Amino acid sequence: MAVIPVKVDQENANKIDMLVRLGVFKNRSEAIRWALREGLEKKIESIPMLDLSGADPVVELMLKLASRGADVVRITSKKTAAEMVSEGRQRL
Amino acid sequence: MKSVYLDTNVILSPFHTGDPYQPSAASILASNRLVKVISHIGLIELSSTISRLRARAEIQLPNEVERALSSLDQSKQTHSILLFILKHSGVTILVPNTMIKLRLDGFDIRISSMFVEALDLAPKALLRTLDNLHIASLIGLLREGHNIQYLVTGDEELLKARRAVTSATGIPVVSPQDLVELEPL
Repeated sequence: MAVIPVKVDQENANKIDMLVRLGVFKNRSEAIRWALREGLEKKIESIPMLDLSGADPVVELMLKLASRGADVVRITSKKTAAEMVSEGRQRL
Repeated sequence: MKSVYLDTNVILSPFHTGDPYQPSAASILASNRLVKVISHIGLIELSSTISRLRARAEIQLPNEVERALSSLDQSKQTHSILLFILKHSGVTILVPNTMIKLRLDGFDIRISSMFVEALDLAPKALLRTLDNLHIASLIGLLREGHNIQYLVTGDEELLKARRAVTSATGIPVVSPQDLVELEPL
């Protein structure tokens, strides 16, 4: 395990000590590890991984053209669709 | 309404007039009588394939779309095409989200149950890694209660392995043409 020295404000320190006194955690370290794990999970889940701002108007334009019967996306590869996708699978 | 898990090639096929499954894949994606499902694996594969096709200038778009795309960076250009294909095809993205705790070398790690399924499936089905992840993802969705009736693929290797895949998933593996003949679209 890594050792990370960290300062905690008094209010949170009191809460940690209370949870230890109540037997929820064995000691301060266990309480802090739990809080850290929970907090990090939530933070990671809240990160927008893909910024697609600006894409919407283009997608709307493409959908509008398609609704008028236009061939909006035309693949011209000499390979079949399965072969095109398989290229990526074989590289693994 | 029946649900079908679509392999990535089935999503691309309707946009490729040279593909042998183009007519049947187009019928499937145009159908309002099917729930069309892909997983996050399919999403990543689509992004990857579209990127390669675009780099090789093997995707043609109308001039006004190319002009609109030119203001975006390469990644957003790819994802615009990807989002269009998904929206136009009425595809639903489902992701198995069960997490499993594993103890590995003294550490507790949480991983998606899909990877555990993939580890279990690998020696039984002898599939390529990404094929294996697709099937594991499908198994994950089925275990979480999603009612999926078919796995549809134009990939000959997966079609050849259909017995092993059906044994692992409990659902039939069919080509787009098979599905069109089996189900009224």
